[in-house]
Amino acid sequence: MRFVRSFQALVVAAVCAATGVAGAVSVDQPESQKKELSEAPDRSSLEVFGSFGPTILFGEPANPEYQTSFGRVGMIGELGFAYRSWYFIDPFISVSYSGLARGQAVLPAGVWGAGGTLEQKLRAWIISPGITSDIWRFRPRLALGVAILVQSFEFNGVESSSTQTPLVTQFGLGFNVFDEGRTRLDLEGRGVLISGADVNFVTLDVILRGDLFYIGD
Amino acid sequence: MNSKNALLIAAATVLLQCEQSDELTIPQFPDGGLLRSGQLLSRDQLLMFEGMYTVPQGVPLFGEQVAVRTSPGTVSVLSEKNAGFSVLGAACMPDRRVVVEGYWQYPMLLDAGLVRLFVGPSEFSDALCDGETPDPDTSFELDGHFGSDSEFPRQPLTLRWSRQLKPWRDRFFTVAHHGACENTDHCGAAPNSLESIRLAERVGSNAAELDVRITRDGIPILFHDPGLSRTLVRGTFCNGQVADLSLAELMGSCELRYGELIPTVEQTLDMMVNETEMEGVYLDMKVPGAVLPTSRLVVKLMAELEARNTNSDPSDDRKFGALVAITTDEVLAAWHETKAQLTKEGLPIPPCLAEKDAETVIAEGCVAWGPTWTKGPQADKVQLARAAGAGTIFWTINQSEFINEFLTVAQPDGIISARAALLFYRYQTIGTPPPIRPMP
Repeated sequence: MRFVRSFQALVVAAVCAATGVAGAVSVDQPESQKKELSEAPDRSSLEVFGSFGPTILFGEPANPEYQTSFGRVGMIGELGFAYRSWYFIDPFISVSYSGLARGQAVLPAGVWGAGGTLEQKLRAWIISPGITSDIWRFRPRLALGVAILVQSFEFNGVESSSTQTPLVTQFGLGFNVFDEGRTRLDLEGRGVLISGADVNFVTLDVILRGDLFYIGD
Repeated sequence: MNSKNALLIAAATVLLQCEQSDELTIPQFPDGGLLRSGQLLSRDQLLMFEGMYTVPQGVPLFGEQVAVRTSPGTVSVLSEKNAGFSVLGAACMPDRRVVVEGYWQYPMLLDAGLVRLFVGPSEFSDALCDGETPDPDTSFELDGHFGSDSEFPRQPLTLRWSRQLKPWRDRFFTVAHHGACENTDHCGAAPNSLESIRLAERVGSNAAELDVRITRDGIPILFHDPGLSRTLVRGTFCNGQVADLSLAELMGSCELRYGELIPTVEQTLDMMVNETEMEGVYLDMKVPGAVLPTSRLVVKLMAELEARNTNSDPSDDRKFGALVAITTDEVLAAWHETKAQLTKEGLPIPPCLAEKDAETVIAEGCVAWGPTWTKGPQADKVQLARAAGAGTIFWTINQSEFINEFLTVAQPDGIISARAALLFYRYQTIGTPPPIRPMP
């Protein structure tokens, strides 16, 4: 939880920093430059975006006396659509899939029966509407959605899985490194808090964005 | 700052408001305190401490009167104020003083501290140190100090014995609500854990209501929610639904809030019978699938207890009642199937408790009725059940004013509460002992 609070504070600091930069730009820069840096597009568009990157999961497995291995580094992929508005903020919706963690626990014989090695895998689907905005070259985003956590096991040759659907909060801060016409490329740091399940992770994504079509004049 | 930036900051600020509450560490005397250097009093000697006590000094801690009861190795001071309690050990010191020390706590708050008392006058401590068990009288007192957090106790506290307790063993059930405390309390033990059941006895309960679910491989366990909610468990790989996981998967991946393992019903019954003096358990069937396997365990326990109580060694006797609680119509249907199956196998039917109404209790031949408190005291129905030989245990009453009303109007055989100290104290001050009934 301490990490979560620190992370939230970091995100707010980053948002404030970005805001400060944008504010400074709006005060000090001439009108033509302001338009270039504070990247509100001339017209609205439907944007498709996809991201991919590694994840680092926080938290620890239970019962360390049984746990023999634990891998907290995984991968996440995301596909989404955003309404890239010429005005104010951009709503978006995205679906992502991630393999978050894997582990092994060696159980002795006990009240559960014969001992053996328990293979554990944690994956998550995340369906998440949210809002984002271009502020100079930064692109913060905030999303609230639902996760489908998939917990899988294999023990003594028997495979099983179970799902859970907690709520998700995502905070991200992207930085635009390439912008050419209809196509953009961002690097983004993102925190994903699946608080109902206490599954929290950070990602470092590469995001490719492109305008599918323009709306209005 | 433009409006979109302000909105983003506002959203982030709102999300920052979510904070987890702080946790309490139960205070302990360094190096085990004086108990470590003394000779612990025997179980029979501890019984002499039981009674109602006035509080000549230290009223701010527990009020003007407290109830004291004992369990193996423990003297418990139980009060009305903030449902506060004190869990103490007692030992004869090398200087022939008898020390009674431990901690006090308000379970709903983050308030706790150390307590160190000495038995007085000296004739009582001399008798105890000689291995005798004197009868208490109004000169018997526990005198010493209490403190806050881990600070050395310096505030005066005196408890003076005033009268015997009203009969409560075999009579009135102070039933712990899935253990010693609510999930939001700060007792250092998770609900539905073995540790919480042990603690429940020390804070005033003589029975426990526990929630039963079943694992994918058919083993009844103690767990409240259908899902592995983060309010109850922790562990990176502890996700999903209880019914989807085998016992091995649960044990290898989940632990309760304070690091305890999720107990099976079999482990729980064994612990309660052999490690506590608790008199009963109310097994709340959360799912119909738990009824048959749980009933088998209760039947097995009944056979073991019967063997203990009919052998030639009276010191091995143990009175303990386990009730299969019928909570819903689905569970009632499963109960009918269970009775048919056990009868087919030539096994006895375990004692049951029905929550629905007194008529169902009578129709099903249950030994107890478990009505919700929200329907009021229903004194006429309590008498109806009693006339049919069944007791009544209300669930779940934590507030003082409702405990008072139900104790005086309904006069039940027991109440489920997460405030055992408060309930025990109120029973001792305003309760009426129910008639003696044989344990199931």
